Amino acid sequence: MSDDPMRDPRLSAELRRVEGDLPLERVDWAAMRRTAAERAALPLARLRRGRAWWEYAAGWARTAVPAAVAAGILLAAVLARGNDSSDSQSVAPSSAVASAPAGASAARDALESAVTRNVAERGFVDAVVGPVDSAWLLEAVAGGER
Amino acid sequence: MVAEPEPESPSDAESSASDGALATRVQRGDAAAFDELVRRYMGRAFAVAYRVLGHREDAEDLVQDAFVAALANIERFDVARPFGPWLFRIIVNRGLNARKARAVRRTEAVPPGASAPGASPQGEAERAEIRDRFEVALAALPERQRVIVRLFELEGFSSLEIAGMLDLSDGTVRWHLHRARRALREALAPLHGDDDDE
Repeated sequence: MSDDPMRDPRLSAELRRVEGDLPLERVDWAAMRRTAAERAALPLARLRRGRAWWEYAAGWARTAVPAAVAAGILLAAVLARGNDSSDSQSVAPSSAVASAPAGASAARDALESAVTRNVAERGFVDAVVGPVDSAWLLEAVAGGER
Repeated sequence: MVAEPEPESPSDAESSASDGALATRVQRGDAAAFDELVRRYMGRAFAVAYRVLGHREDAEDLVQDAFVAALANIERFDVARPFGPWLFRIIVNRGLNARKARAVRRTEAVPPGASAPGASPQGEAERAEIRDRFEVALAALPERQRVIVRLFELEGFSSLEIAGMLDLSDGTVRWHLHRARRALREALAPLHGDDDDE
């Protein structure tokens, strides 16, 4: 405060002449206070009640979801890089899962093949969602026109 | 300085409680404590809001919004610190954003001659010229400098208090203040025949 310049009375007076005084007498203070109290009633009730579990969960979700997505992307990148180096060493990807249970799903095999780039993109899509059935497609188009 | 509005007889316990104690109670949902904070700060809050927006009704709305916003974030408020600067910072931020969005009404005009009853025609003309020069000079100031010089010269806030409201350093506020005052004095110099002697 001691480093502040002195107020300039003439400047203040000119400013006040242009800007005017505060219209304090025109403010309805009681109404302002009442309105603030009305608008505060719900937030205050919420504070009295405390936060519900889903509010905590929602708060955590805001952090956890992006973190999980980032971790997934990172994992995928690490896996892809690992498989690239496996390819360069001419190691068959299927050998890595040679000990996997015999009943591994087709989707898993397809995913593995896609990651190791041993199968064409189209083959991967067919393996996961099923091959395109032209009869079904025609039926769908005909149904849409009906 | 701001004339505080007439208090409406708060209880002794509330009127003597510190800001920190009241804020702690508000964090638990105490309506009486919130009401006491409103009563305690609404005058200064209105002064800040009015000097940012220049319009009474907008300033009243802004003060109410700021109290509600403060309440919404009260769990994050550090009760060891004073409540006023925190509230004023909310007001200034919101007020400046509102001005940027041009969502506020035009600054209320001061009635001509209202502050100089019985002046001569020549004096009136001179005052009109001063007003014009001031309006031009004020309008030419960056928004922050305009707010800083109003809060400093008209409402008596210190540069440190203004720094808290604008989230700036004390030195930066003083630099803005110096620039603003110099610009305003330059606008007045031809009328008064003096120079900048800050």
